[in-house]
Amino acid sequence: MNRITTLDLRAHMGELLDRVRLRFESFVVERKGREVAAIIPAERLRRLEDFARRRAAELQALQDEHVREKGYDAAEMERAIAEAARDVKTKRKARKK
Amino acid sequence: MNAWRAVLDAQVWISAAINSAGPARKIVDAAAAGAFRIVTSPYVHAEVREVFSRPAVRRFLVPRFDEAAWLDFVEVTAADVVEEAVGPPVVPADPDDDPYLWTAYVGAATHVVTRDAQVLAVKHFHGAQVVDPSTFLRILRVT
Repeated sequence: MNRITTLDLRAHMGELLDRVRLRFESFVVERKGREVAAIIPAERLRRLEDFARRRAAELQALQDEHVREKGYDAAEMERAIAEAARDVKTKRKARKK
Repeated sequence: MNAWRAVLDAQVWISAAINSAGPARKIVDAAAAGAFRIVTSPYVHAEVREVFSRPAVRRFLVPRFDEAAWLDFVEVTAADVVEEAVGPPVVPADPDDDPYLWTAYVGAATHVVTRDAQVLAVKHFHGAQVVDPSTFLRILRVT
C-alpha cells in the first residue's frame, strides 16, 4: 500500500485522486508518523461493505435457524443476556478492588 | 447521509445477534440499511466480546457462529469506531457505564441506546438522548 503524508495529500491532491480513479491505487495517509486515513476507490469500498453485509447476514441466518430448531424463548434469551452483562460488570468491579 | 448516530450498549449488540424477534435486531438491520450510523469504540467492542463469551449467552449460540467476525462485519458495514473515550464521572452508581456516554460525546452521537436503568436515568448527555431500544426504534420509524 502506498503511504503518503498529509503534506503530500495537500500538495498533490489532484494527481493522487487521478491515480485512485484511473489506476485503482490506494493510499494510507499518515500524520506525524501515524496512520489517520486511507484513500481507496469508492467501488472497492462498496464491495468491501457489500461483502461484510452479506457475511453478517449469513451468520445471523445461521444463528436464527439454530434458535428456531432449538425452540429458544426470546424472553429467556434476553434475561440471559442481561445476566451475562451484569456478570461482566461484577467481575470487572472485583478485578479493580 | 443520515444524521442519526447512536451508541448501542453491549446488551443491544448481543440481542441483535441472537434474538431475531427483538427490537435490537431491527435496530442493527436499520443501521445496515443506512437508516443511521452506529457509533462504537474499543471499550464498547471489548465489552460486547466479553458478554458474548459468558456461558449464559454462549449456550444460545450455534457453535459455528463466529461472534468476532459478526461484530467486525457489522462494524465495517454500519459503524464508526471512535478512539477510546474517557471523561469525568457521569453515572455515579456505576462508572463502568461512563465510557458508553463518552463514546457518544466523542462520536457526536445523537442517541445512546441502552437497557441499563442507571444509564437511562441520565436521559441526555452532551446532545445525545439516552433511550431504550423500543423507543429508539420508534424514533427511527417516525423520522
